[in-house]
Amino acid sequence: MELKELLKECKNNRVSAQKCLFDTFASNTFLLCRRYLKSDEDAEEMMFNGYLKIFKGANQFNYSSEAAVWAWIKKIMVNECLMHLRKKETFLLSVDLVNEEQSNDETALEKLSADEIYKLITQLPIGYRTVFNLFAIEGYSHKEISATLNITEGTSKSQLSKAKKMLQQLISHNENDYEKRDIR
Amino acid sequence: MKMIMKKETSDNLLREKMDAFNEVDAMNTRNYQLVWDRIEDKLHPKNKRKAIRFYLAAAAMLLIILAGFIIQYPRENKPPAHFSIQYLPIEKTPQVLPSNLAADSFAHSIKPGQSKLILNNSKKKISIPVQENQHIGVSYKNYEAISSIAKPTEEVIKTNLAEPPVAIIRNVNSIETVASPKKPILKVLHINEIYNANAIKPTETIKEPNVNWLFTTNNINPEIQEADNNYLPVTRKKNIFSIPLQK
Repeated sequence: MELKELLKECKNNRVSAQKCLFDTFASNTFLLCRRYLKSDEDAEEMMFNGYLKIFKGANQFNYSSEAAVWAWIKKIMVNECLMHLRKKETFLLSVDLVNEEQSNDETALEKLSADEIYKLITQLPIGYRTVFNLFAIEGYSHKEISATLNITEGTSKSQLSKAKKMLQQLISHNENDYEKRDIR
Repeated sequence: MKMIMKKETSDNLLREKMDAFNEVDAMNTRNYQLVWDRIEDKLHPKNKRKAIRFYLAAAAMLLIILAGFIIQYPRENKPPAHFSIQYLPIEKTPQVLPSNLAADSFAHSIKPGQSKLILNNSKKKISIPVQENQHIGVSYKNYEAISSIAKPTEEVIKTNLAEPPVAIIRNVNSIETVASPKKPILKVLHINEIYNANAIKPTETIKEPNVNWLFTTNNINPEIQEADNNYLPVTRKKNIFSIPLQK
């Protein structure tokens, strides 16, 4: 069944269609939630909340393209994760407005595979991770991030900068590990 | 300007990479069934209730079928076949009782060493103390048993007779008592005869010609046979027939 048909059936509250839509996007949404949250259990919990909202709000969504469907689902999931983080985490402690000098090795991330980046992101502290996810992956501007997370733009920039720096450290650390392994 | 351009390109590449990663679904080894079950429970609780109701109904049906089967299924210690008498309505009871009402089959319910005759049917289990030279009557109508000692007086019979039993088994003989005289142990019991009591009128003394003999076996004790001429059932007390003992 095509995604358009699937959504139409979801609007009619048909279980089979809802299950099919869930199966189509389950792993994507899980990975998305897991990028923001600390544990698999939290990610599944947000999936649960997010899909409830998706199925309940399916009537308000107008299908235009498959990409739009994924964008819609993604937005709901990200919002769920952010809501969860706002409730649970005191994750934005640093209000450092200094624009730290970024490493010239900006392209270090590009060299890594998506899988490796994903693993590195999950090693970041929650605050860095959230801003990095929103800015670098979801494409939010610092203004949007500051509004969403209720922080200043400066904080957002600072968190992003620190996140990138930490990622670079993690990358160089991993590279050293690889080299050591190669030498052995 | 170049720096900004480069940075944007880098972010876009990262974004594309992560999107591609999500779509490639490289880590999809998890089972999301539990999450879906929770979602379904929340969105369609009726479905679950329906399923539960269906399974409960199925289980109930199975139980009913099983119970029926167990009830129908013959047990090993099933009462003797003669208890089919309960299906014979009183008015249709023939003068001569069906041959499957074998006297011997009553005796089967007495085990060596017992001093009680136990009669079973699906509704009741009656145990009757048995003594030597005892007469036992069985009422088909009430599916109950009468125990008696022979030789009730005619006077007692006339005044106390309320309802005759349908059949009278008498001449329980061949009882051997062993060991302690205080507590005789029934070793072997054999019922020799069964009367059809339909022919007996309440005030009438059973005389030999009035009695339709159904089963006559050998070894009839002549003394008992003689005594039977004076025999008559019964007084009724709480739905159980009994014949007063002769003093």
